[in-house]
Amino acid sequence: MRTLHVKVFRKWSANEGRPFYQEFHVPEFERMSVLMLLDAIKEHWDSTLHYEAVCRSSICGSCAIKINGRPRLACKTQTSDLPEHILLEPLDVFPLIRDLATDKSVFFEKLNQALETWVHRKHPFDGTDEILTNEIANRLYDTERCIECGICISACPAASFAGFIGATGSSKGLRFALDPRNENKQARQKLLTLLTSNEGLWGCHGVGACKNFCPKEIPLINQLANARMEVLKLVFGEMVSN
Amino acid sequence: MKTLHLADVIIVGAGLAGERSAIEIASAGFKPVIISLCPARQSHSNAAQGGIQASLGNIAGGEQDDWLAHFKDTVKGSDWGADQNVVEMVCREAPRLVRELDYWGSAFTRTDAGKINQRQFGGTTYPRCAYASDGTGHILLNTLDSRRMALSIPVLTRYQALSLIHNGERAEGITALNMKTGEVEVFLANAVILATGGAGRLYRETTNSLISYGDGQAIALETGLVPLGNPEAIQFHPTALVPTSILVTEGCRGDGGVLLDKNGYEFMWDYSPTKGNLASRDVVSRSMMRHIRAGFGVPSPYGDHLWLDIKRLGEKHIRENLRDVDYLCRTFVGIDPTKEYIPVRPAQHYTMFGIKTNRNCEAYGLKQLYAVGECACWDLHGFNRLGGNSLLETIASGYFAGRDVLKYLKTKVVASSEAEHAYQEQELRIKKLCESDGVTSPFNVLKAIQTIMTENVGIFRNELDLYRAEMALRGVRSTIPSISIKTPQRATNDELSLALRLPGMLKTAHCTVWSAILRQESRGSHTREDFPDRDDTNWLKRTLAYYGKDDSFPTIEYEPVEITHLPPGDRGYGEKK
Repeated sequence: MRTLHVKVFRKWSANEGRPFYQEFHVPEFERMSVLMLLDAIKEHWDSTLHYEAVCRSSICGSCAIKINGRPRLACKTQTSDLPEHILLEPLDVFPLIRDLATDKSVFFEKLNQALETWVHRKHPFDGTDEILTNEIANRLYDTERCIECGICISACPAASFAGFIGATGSSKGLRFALDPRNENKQARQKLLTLLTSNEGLWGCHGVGACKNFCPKEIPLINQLANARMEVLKLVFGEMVSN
Repeated sequence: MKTLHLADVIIVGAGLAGERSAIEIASAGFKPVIISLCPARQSHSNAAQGGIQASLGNIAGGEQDDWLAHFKDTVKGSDWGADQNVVEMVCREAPRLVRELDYWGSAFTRTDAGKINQRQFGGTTYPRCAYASDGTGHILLNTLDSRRMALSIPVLTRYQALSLIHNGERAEGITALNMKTGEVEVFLANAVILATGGAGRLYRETTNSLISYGDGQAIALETGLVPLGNPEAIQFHPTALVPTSILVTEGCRGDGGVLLDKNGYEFMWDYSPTKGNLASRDVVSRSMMRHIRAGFGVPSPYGDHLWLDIKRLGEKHIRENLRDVDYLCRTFVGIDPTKEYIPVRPAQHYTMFGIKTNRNCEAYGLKQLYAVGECACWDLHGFNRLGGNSLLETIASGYFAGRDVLKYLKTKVVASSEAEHAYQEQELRIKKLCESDGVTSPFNVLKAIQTIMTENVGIFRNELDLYRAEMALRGVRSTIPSISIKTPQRATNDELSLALRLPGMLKTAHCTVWSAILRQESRGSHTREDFPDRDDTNWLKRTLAYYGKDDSFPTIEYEPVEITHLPPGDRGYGEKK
């Protein structure tokens, strides 16, 4: 097995301390993920190294970092797929907590609040079954596979600089536009207005970085194209029904 | 103290149970505050794959299903360890609670008629498990978190609960470490709800997340007043991936997948002639280990394992209904489950044990303290939980606790005379750790606990191993005063966080081991090789484990198990030992 030469970005906090890169030489083992590599560094070389990880199985998105310049999940990335020189840095765009940890929760809380990503019902719950086609349920499920890892935002030039809600915001918006249970007219109107604005689906420049890096392998660029089409259908449909 | 927060209710943990209780409280017009180790949507509820049990009776072959059938399955699954009052209450309420999730927008997979679809799970009479592909936990967490946002309930992230503030009779709040600043902050409230999840990190091989340390159980136990219920009751899931112990859902077998040995033989029918691959989890895990011990395991660098075959379900079914399994197999094992077998072996999965509460989820020993979800034991699961009942428990306990706690919210939160003392106590602990010149690394202590528990307190237990574990844990405890952290920094210091939780984890582990030694029978997941049979004459009772504040040993009491509709009998799995 190789010895990995790992350079890690270090900074005390967003406001304190100067950034620097620290080098570690770590023996590789079979089926080693970058998260295991970080665990090894923390345990054996430097216990002050800070990064976040929860599920270790690519379903929570908390361990997203930049690996050799590319945004990826540390738990999913195998060291065997990397050269022996490895550069680890925090995700771009999101505020730094310390070292490799960034705070994505503020961004997503704001995004969800702006899009009002919940169903706005007309009637109170009455305990009965609601009918929904499996086709719609599957479409909703598809758009909800996002794990809020922030990778598509970090990778996207339009989202990083121009206020575009990004692939994740587009998926979220589409999800609640498609859901027939999101039935309050005003709320729908607000959502569709946002989605058809320059911050919404029309803010996408078609670079496709989101699709290249999405760790859940969601076909985001197709989804964005479909989203534009479907949202337009909804907009015209709702104009007619008004 | 520097920072004081006041709220109607302080909730520790932003997973499904915590959020469901918060929604109930906020809907009644009160202000709960949630603190969490991580952002809400990263909570471990996310990892639940298969589904949520409720007798909706929506699909062909399940029309006859009702709460009583669900009740009987759950009690049999629990090996008569469950509180039948609680089981009845939950099973009766389950269909309404699941339809409510659907009303809130959950993307449940549907039947052809457009109703919520249901799949077969282990130990159930009818296909009862409502699901959203195999990402049910993820979808439900999105749903509840969306309700939380609609109700503007704040979640303060990156807080680690350190202790309960109480006056000996009632809970008044908590102290917590703000992990970003390193400050100890005080939260005072009219009630505290603990919703911190399982304690899987007591084991080396677990399907649990990296933050499932059991913080809630530990801080409740450390009051010396609140007991853990059945600390010996720990579930091992049959199908964890080898070698990472990542969970593969029971839905694989529910949908028709089977377990195979090294010869490709479907061995489960030899061990459970009636239920086969879909016996309850304790039975399947035991049978797998017996089969491996008998020499039928598949050798690998990570020890012997067995195969899970889902390729027989066909590519379309896997890509639609078992997507995450497909993804996890490709990503973490490097195999394609539509073409190859999946290497699996049982691993620690769930703690049936937890903070003992009454039927309203209010803890024994302290008023105005509630516990919900996996960290609690109220006791829905007894000695073995059925798949799909954990998601149900998070929703049901959150609902019942949230409703019951309202009775304490009529008055304004008052300052607690205990708060300053509790704050100083935690400050002192941190100061001591930062100044310690000891030689013990917290990482090594954690590893020692995990090794002891994994090797001696696993699926098969016996007196010798358990005593060995008990002595070893005391050995580890003697090293606690010499724990030091390498850098005496308080902010974002993972080593400090770990060092702070180790004494509590040791107490929890000690309760588990000592209760397991005392319980001289086999019930559900508690399998004693030296006492292989269930013994209802002497052991139809629930363990209550206390740990006095200055004690070095747990105090064990017992209480009767409530039997209402279903007296103890045969579980109906035909298990061969």
